Amino acid sequence: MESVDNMQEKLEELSLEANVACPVDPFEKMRKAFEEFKAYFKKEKELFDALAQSQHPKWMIIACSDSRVDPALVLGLELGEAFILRNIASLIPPHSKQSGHKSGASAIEYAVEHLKVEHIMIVGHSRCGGIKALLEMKEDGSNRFSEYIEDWIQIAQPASEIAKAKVPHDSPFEELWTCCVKESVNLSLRNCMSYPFVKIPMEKGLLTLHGAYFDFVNGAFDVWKLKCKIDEHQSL
Amino acid sequence: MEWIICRSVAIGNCASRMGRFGNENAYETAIDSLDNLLKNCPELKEKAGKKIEELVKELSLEAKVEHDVKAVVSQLDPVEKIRKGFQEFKAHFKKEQTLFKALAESQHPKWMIIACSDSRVDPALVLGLGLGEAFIVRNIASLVPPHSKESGHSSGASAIEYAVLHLKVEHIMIVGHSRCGGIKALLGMKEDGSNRFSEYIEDWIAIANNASKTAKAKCSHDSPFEDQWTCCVKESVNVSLWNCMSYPFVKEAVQQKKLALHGAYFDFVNGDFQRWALNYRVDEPESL
Repeated sequence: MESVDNMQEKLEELSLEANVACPVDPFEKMRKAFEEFKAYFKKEKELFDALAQSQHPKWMIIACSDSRVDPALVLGLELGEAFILRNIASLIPPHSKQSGHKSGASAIEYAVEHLKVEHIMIVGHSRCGGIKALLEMKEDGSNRFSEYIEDWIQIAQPASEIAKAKVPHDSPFEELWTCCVKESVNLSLRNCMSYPFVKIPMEKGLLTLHGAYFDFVNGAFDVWKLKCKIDEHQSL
Repeated sequence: MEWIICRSVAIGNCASRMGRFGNENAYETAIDSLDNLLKNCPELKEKAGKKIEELVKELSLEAKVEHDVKAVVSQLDPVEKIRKGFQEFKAHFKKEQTLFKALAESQHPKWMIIACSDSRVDPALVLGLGLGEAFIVRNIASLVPPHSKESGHSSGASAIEYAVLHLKVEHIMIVGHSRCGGIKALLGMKEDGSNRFSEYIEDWIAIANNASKTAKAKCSHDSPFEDQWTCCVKESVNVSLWNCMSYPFVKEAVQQKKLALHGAYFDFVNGDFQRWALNYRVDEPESL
């Protein structure tokens, strides 16, 4: 019995040593997956020959960087279908000549003016860490915890104020959280519209803006359109 | 006669390619200039006619390719397509309850991936990543600006900060790709800004200016443009990797071997994926 226990111990020691000496290759899974992609690539020659020349996505999707909300996986998008921007909390800052926030603006400019996408969808999601941090931010900045994160998420500060006014004080935090995510999506949609190169095609009916909320707690996906119409002028 | 036919065909083919807001004026101006030139130098008409035929062939090919892509990619109404796509996901969600209950509580991705917004380079589809595996940033040309207290470029910086300090990812991979429109525009940018075409795009891709200079120095003048383009994409990935390292919280994690940085190049022309590691080592000081 004793020798079996000793052997067990020795085996454990050795396997520990092996793990330290030969760590699991982080690329192993990706390598296998890429082989599968390569097989698909060879099979769909017509598609990939066309994509090699140019892209003509109908969608631009703005989603959070959160690992649980990949738009291609959740919405069954294939290569070539959607031009995708991802950042913390899927935020779009307003149009501004001074702003240094050019990553989102440049992507939208390219998608609308050059790729001529027909739809822009901004996707918020359940349990968004960025929005949670926004809700917890103190006005005087006394609980600041980051170098960059709070400067980024404060873009959605107006959404935080709207949500706090809408949701009763004694509601569970989850309700405020969900409301704030949706208001943040609406704010980003309005900010999107502040870019002239977005507003003009929208008014012509060439571009539609959509908001969305992906709930990975309950497995639901809600969408809504942003409608903007200027009525005919009427005399007083 | 030939010249008039060529012109109307060119107009017909150009119509579908015109921008929404302004390329029409440029076209009319060019045609007027050509008309004036040929009035003064009629001996150039033959040469002009041949060049216009070449242009028409080129544009017809582009127009046909555009048509081909639209025919090959799904013809379903875009909203209907994602509705169907989500129904498939929902079935998967119901089946994998253990996974999704865990993900509902928190995320622990080992990877942060920075990839281009280009519709042809979705990292999840190309690298078989499942939900929960990678924290993903996507922007034009997968650029990371350098650490700076003044910079307004906090979208990338905030994502890296969150990934490294809060999610504690173990790997950051920056993925460049073939035929990148952003990098092509970078290579075409004149230093004096005289050919500026955008409000924001050029300010963004200027982050990779050094990559453009390096690529132009590395590739000989008579190499095909594709060589310079590929080289510039890879150099741009390297610029972004070094910019990543300029963040103290990244440098510290790399030095402590808690974080590894990788560059990658996805070639969707040939179906290839290359990757390389950023090796960073500071030796022990030695006496002279």
